[in-house]
Amino acid sequence: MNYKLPIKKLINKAAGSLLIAFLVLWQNQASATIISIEASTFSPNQGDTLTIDLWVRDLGLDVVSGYDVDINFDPAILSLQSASFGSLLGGGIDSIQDAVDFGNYINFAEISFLSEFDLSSLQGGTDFILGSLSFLTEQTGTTQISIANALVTGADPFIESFSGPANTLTFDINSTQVPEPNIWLLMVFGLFVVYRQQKHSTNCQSRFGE
Amino acid sequence: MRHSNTALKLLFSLILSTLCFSALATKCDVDQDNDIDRLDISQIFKDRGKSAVNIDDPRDADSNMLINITDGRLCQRSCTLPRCAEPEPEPEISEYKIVVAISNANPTKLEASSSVKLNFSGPELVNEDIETVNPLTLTGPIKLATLQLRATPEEGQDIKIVANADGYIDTGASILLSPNQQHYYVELMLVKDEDGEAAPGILVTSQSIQNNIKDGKVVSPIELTSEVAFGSPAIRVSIPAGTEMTGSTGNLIDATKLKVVTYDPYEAQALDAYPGGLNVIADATSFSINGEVQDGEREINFKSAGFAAINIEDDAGNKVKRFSQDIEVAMQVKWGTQDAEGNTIKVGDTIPIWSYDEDTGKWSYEKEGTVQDLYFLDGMFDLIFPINHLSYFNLDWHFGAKCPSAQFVLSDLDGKLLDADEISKLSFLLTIDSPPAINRWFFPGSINNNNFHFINAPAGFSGRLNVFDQTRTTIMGVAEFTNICQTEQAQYDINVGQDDDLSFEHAMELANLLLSRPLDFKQHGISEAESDISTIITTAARLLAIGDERGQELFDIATEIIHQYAEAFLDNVDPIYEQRLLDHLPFIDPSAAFGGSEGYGCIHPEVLNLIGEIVKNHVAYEQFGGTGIYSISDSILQFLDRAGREYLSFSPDGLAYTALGVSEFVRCGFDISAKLQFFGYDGGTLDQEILDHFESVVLLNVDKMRKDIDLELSTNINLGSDLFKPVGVITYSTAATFDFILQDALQVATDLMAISKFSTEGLAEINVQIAFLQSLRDNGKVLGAPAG
Repeated sequence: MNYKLPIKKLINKAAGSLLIAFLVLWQNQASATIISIEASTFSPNQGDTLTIDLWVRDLGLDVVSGYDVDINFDPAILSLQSASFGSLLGGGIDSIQDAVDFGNYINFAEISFLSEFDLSSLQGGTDFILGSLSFLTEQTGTTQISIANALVTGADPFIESFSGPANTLTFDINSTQVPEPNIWLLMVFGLFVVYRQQKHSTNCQSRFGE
Repeated sequence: MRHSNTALKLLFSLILSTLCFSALATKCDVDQDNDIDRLDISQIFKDRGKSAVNIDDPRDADSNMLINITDGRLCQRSCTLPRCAEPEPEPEISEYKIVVAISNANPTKLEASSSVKLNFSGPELVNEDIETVNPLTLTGPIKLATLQLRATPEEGQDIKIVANADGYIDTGASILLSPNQQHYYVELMLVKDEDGEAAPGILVTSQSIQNNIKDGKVVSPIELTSEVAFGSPAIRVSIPAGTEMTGSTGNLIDATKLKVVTYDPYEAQALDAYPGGLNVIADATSFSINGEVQDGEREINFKSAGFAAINIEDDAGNKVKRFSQDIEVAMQVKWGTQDAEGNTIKVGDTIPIWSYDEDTGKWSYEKEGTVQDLYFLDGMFDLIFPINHLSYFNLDWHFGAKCPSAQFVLSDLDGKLLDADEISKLSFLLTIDSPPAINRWFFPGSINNNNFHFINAPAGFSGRLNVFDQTRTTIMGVAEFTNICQTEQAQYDINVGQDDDLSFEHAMELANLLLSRPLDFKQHGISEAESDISTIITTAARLLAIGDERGQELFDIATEIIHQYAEAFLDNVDPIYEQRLLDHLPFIDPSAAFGGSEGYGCIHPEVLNLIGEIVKNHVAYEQFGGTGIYSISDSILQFLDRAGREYLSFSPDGLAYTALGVSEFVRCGFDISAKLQFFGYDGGTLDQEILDHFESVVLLNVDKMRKDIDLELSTNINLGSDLFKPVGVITYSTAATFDFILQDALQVATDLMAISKFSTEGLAEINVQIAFLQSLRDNGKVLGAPAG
């Protein structure tokens, strides 16, 4: 996966002040948008489903027109259950989507058939989920899910291909245990037992002491 | 600030996109279908991560030798349609073109206002807007349509075309299709639906049959014989009483008009008007070819011995299709006609009979007809056959295969290739030597610059293609072949230009052909060879004018030809024509002959034609140095004598009810008398007797009309719708008829009195009747007379 920004291509296709001006503009814009994976829980139990979302944030006036992201995972602990895509690049009708499990990474990609103007009206500068991956937690232990390679195209693929930080999420997968009652329930239960034993002892003495 | 940045960015991206667009457009069409759509983007998406094959890999839009989603998005900007939608697939249109041209069999064009409706059956045809055309209506002065087949045709498929135009006789054509032939040309020649000569060799004869039909049934026999020029084949249709006439849906039709159209197969324009041309798709079921009985449709090359169209319809134009019983058709074939193998036909031979359905454009084999030699017309063999439906009927042999396309490349005498416009101003005559002999003008299919294609020429025969100027009088070039279709892509080069050597050779060729004709051909006289003789003499005159002695040679040969043809004809008049005519033909109107009461007593058209032919041959013979062994008068006077005597025995009394009245009867008599005098009749008083015959017939008709008036005055007549004419009056129409014959008789009497051929007593009788009619009017005895 090409993780480089297409500066050389741009140099080849533009010239002089025009190039300089757009590079400045690109730098301003590229620094704004963030691509990241996020999760709602980090300590799932073994056998649970672990879901991560691929987010785009701080889009501003730009758009996302396509993405091609490799997401690494540890196949010893996790296995891919399902992949789903968001709707703001065309929802599979006006886009083409693909998620392929390569064993230790998922290639997650979509490209929109829509123009930047259509995408702009769809995305409207909001943060949104590009797609989600659901894993089954097969084993206990600590594991990570990370973006390995990412290429994301914006309104103009020549000048706005940007990538997010290669963030990594860490999860602790717990073993499955018999559920323990709460302490106060145990105390209540113990007090109740002591009380019954005391009452039983008194009753015996009076009955035989007579 | 951010906003302005975005605006600038869009501007730059637009500039860059424009810079790169043309390159991208050629790059991104991954599936090479001349558009960029989501199929192309999807393929790039599918191949993301792969290396480009080369710098021109259409998937690698940015030419970085790596295929990724950046390429996909770059290509998205070049999509042909919004949202990278897939363009609607363009309808599949084949490259097969068919040009349909409509023309009048008469050289003048169709009237600009007339429209022609074409109905097609067979593979789908589309126009330039790729819209299906069926039917297609052509209007305007030039009636030409270029159509395309929607799909590539299969071998053996055919298209049938039926053409209808108001005022013209329906016709049609069929085109045999082949995937190996992309261009087709068909010309439909329409024949004007009016009595008389619609074009050289095409004659229309019609007859009212309103009084013969009641409730779709023939109540009195119908017989119509076409009126044709001497030496041209005629047709006779006889429909017996009791025959029911039905239309296409089986409904009875109260027909009012019977029409026959005869086509002389010796006339080029008649052949050109042949429905479908002479290469047709025909239902040959039951037809035997080389001893094998055929089944179903097949391609047939016709060698026509004669054909005719028969049409019966009512006032609304509803056509009779079938009869409840057989009717009889007699068609004629010229003496000397050769069959497909070159044998001159004779009595007892058979000729296949084909019929044509103008609604489906299809020929079908009917039966075989046996050649007879009947008496009722001259110089022709006859085939009589029963039919129970109406159509074009065609006496035809078939032959050979066709040549799908032969190319002729034309250049002038300096070697410069002719362009399409120059080629279109030329005429082409195809001559096939060995049987079946063909000599036909044709219209080339698909004229291009430098060349044209002759489509569907009869293959397998030797012959030549002669190129003439537009007037078809001067030969401009020739290409000879042993088989026009020697190869699939046969090509012939022709140098076109006025060439005295070529003209001389062509004239000599015509001359030799005319001289080699058998006697029974020459017996038709110089009319049969008139156009060829004219070409020979024209060529001779041109050569003589430039001092070329070959002109004299041609002139001498032309003289010899004229002598041979005229002598054959004039020799023939005595032993055959004369006796045949004297024995069998009526010499005045057929309906007036032999005691009939209709007609005006004019000389029979056949006799007039024969007289004209005798005169033509005599004059040509003598002008070209023939010595006077023939007496023009002796031959003709016999016919005139016969006509005159028939006239004297003809005393029609119903002329009051005819369109032309007694004056036409008198005119016909004058004509016979004048001709007798012109040709030196001195054998008696016949010419004067004819003039003396007028008064009696004029007064006979006046008297007959008066008797009819008296009868009507004494009779109560049911006029229909419970309206009765009472006794003592006559109807307005009866009075008008009486008035017509009286005024006509008065005029004739006045004219004849000037030459002392009408008596004062006769004139007085007419005036008495005029006064009588006036008294009826004065006394209110004329019913329904218009006010004033």
